Amino acid sequence: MAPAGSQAFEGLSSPPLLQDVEGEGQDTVHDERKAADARDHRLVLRLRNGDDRAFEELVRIYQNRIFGLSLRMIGNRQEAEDLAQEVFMTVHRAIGSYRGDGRFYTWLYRIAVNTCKNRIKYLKGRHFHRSVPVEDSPEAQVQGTDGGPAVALQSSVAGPEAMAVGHRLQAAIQRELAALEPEHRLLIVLRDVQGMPYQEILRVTGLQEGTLKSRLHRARLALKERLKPHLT
Amino acid sequence: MALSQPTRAELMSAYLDEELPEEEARAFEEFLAGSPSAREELAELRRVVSLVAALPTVDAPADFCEKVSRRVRRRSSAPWDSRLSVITFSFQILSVVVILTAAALLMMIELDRASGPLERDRPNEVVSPQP
Repeated sequence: MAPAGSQAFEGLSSPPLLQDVEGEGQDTVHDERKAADARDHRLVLRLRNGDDRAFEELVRIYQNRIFGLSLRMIGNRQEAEDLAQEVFMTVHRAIGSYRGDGRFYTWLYRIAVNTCKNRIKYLKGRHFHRSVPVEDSPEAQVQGTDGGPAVALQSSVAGPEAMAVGHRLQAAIQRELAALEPEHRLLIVLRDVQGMPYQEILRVTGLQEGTLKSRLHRARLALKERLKPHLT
Repeated sequence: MALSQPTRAELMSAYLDEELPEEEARAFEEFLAGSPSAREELAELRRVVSLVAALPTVDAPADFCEKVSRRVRRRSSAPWDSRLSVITFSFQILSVVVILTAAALLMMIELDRASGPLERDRPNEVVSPQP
């Protein structure tokens, strides 16, 4: 099940993930994923040969996903932007060590996840406070699978009051998400916000399947408890 | 069918995400049919997941790519930057030590100069002969 507002299919520029779709749909997703992998492979080869345009192309393809991950993990736009930039700088520096036997996408996410973890530790040591709520920013926008509007939190009831309620709920979700343990937060962001399939999450995090399932469940239970006051 | 807690935790989210193999999913549905509390928990989790999934997507700033490229170029044009910063820091510490030492030496010389003539003056003091 792909989450309704997830970034899994946020447009042609993003790589398709292998979702649980059946029949023809699954074949299409398979084909799209293969095409995306082949494109990444070509870009990586060009980058290794010193082609900076290939690097820029890779950045443009993945910038929204990596920035989205950083922002949901850190909760502060400025810090998230710096972190996302650092991820791509690491990619540029370490591209020689990427063997190319796995998906570039997975390798990139592994770098992003490690960078996020390190930054969270660093910020915790500096008693960092998230100063700019994610949903308050003008860039925060709802997009569906075709780039158009998706089901937003405020869309179930019409009117400005419902919009305000929806915004408050969004802010509460982000706040409570940010209050979770980083390990729990990461799984919820990867799975529920970004719509990543279990197999990809396993590759990115290096977790065992049983651990992923139980930890994700605990993470959701923890978030459910935290959200209780906002949902009654 | 009773399920132990870890198994239930592993199965519930995977069932919710339709990530369970068919046979396991069917077995879990059998368990759900006999457990109202598990059904309730599942419904609550489903709601939370859908709320989180409906969070707006956030796009990177429009000039993100340019900023990354600029940072990469800056690093490429000054590959010794990181080492230089360490050298600069060490150099700063060394500078402070040298300045402090020099200041201490100067102070000692000044003190020496200030007290020196007094001591030297004493032997030269003219003592008037006693009558």
